[in-house]
Amino acid sequence: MLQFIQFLKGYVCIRVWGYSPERFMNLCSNHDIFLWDIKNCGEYYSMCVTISGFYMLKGIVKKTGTKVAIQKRCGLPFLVPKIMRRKIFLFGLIGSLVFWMWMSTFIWAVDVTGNYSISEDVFMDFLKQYDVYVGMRRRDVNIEELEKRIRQDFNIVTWTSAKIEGTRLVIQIKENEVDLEADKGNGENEGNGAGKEDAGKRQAGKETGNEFGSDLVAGEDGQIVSMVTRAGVPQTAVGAEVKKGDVLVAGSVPVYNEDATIRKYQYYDADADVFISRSLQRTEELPLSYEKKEYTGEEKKEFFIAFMGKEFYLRMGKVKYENYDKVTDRKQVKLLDNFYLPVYYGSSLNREYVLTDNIYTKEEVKNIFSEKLIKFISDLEEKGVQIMKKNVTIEKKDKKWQMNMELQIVEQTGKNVPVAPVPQAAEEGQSGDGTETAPVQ
Amino acid sequence: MESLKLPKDSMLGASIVTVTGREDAFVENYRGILEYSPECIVLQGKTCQISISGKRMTIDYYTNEDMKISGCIECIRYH
Repeated sequence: MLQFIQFLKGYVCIRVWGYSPERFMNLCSNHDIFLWDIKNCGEYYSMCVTISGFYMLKGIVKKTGTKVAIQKRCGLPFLVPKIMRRKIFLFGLIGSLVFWMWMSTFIWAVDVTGNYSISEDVFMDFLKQYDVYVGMRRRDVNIEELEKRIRQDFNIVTWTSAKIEGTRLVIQIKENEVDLEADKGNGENEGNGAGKEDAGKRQAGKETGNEFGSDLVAGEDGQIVSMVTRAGVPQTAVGAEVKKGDVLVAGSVPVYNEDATIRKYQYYDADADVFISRSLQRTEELPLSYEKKEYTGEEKKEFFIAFMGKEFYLRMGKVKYENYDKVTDRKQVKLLDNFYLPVYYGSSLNREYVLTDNIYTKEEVKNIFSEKLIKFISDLEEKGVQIMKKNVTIEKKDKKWQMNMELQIVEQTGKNVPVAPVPQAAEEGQSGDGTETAPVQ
Repeated sequence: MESLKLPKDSMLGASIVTVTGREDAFVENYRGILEYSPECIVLQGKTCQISISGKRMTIDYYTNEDMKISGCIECIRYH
């Protein structure tokens, strides 16, 4: 600390020699001239004295008959004129300072965290649409407006926070996980009526909002193997063949008069677990030959600097390889933690490969097809489909490998379709307590 | 003087020599330097002379009130 103050105020190192240097020192202390680092160097003494002290030495020197010479000038008061003389250096220093300050008024990096279902590209496009981009002025970023727009445009985003750290715009978002799962569930239900959640489906039926209820119709052709009706009048029975679009369970339940004529209809949302057995055919194809990448083992690493969207590679001429894979590792230049600059650097590794034409062997074909088959079956099972029988053949046909799958499956079917109102047939029929057919419970 | 409990240094003009380890010595209440060489520093106190001898001795700072001597101190003598 003391040294720093001395540096600010400036001091000189002097050498003292002559008749009586000790007396010189005594007189200095008597005149309150501060001396330090006093060394006896044989013929002379060297010491440091403040600038103001140095100007007071004249009389003391005369009195003691010593001689004083300056050895070194130290401190800021001596440094400033030296710097002032170097005009271009000073100009550069100030210029660079101004440049950095100017550079720090822009956004040079945008970071998005917390996005799982919204991809980074989509998000960046969205930002661009609202004039938020890399290279924009920092003061033009309207944080609150941006947060609001993110929440408005992406329904899935439940929470968002944007902040500027140095030259980086950091956007944190939180997506609604519950909503995502619900969407997925509904999607499955609509897929082929083989949804797992009956409750969900029933609710979906009610949501049709039709005052005349809804019928349950077959989604696929097949034979009914099991049927449990909860609401509505079954129109088919176990063992019956149905076609796509056939009504399985009617939502309009007739109410009979005593003479077995229909008095009126009551409307319900038909609800039943109907399982049909049907055959499913699927064909997979595979070409006879395929191109295979064979790495030659040749690889070359090269470095690059990217600026304003252009990449400058540090290499001579073009890449020598005809075919190659490129793995790039890219980093952004930053000062300290948060001062990002619009300059990127990194390295990329080029790996040469040769394309070779290979012909599938029978074994390979079998393996590939069996993998596909296993995946297909597991997909089906995930949807709640039972596989009763399967018949798979692999054959060569039209210069292609072909796998024919014939599966016998049992799956749940049924789709709620709004009912057209049945004309109230026996309107004029007698009143009274008729036998009412209640919906099957 | 004893009964008044006044500090002796200010009343009698006694010098105070504070030695820290072997390396540093602070001296207060002195009139001036009589001799200064790396081997021996002789100070004029108000009542007596103090000679400090040793090796490679330097004066770190020197003011009207106090001074600091550093080096390898071997002997302090009053005469």
